[in-house]
Amino acid sequence: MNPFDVIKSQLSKTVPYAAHTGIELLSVADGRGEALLPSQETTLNHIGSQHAGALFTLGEAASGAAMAGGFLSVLMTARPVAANANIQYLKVAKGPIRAFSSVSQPTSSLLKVLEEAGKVQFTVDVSMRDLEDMEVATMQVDWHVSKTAT
Amino acid sequence: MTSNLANSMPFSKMMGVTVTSATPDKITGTLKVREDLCTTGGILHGGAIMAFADALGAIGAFLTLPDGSNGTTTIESKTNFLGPAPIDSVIEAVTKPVKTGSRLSIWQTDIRQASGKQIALVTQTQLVL
Repeated sequence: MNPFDVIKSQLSKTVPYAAHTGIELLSVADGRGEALLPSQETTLNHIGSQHAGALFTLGEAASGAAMAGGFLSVLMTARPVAANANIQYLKVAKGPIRAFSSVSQPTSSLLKVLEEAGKVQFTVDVSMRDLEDMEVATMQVDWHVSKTAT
Repeated sequence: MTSNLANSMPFSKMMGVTVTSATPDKITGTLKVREDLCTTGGILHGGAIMAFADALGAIGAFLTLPDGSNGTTTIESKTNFLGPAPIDSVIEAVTKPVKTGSRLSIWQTDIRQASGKQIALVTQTQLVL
């Protein structure tokens, strides 16, 4: 199991709400992530499409995967916090939805800032797509990562 | 009657959202921070925080729908995470309209611990269908 798969496994096990909502992390890579919200009755809204909150949770999970993948080398000595999040709902989201996330800047430069300044801020962009590959929502999550005392 | 408003949405019902009052000018609700709503470290997951606010804002939008409309849906939402909500606590939310119109309504939800410490501020836009 490579280090990214270890992070994926750990995130899946240690976030009870992700299990509660049925969200599955599909991949974790350097500054990128992918997650799935399955088609299920429990995450629907009053009009029978995926609930806005469930889509937000999907996007946040994918953004966390991209963040964790990008900061893998320092994750044990860093404190990541999602400070703000914006989401735009573009189309009615029906069926299983996949979220694709990417850190908006090269992670190598962010790691350098973290090393030198002790903290760094950046955005993770998320695109959520249905089975027809139509974009149903976009999201931006602002992460603050700081070094912890060692 | 108010609790039934949250139960009309399966996702809100699953989370345990309780609507304690609902008028066109103000909606209040509570949420018990159960273990299955948490992220690492035993604090409420950001997705659960936003979903709690979204449920209350949607109820406000529903209560202010213009005549002849077919419902409402969220089209945009912004969440500022301001502090943690610890496991086993009961958190409180107050939702008020920023503006209601014939095509859109905008709602702001202030979520706090029982002590008054702020957890999040959520601003959402609802489309009239």
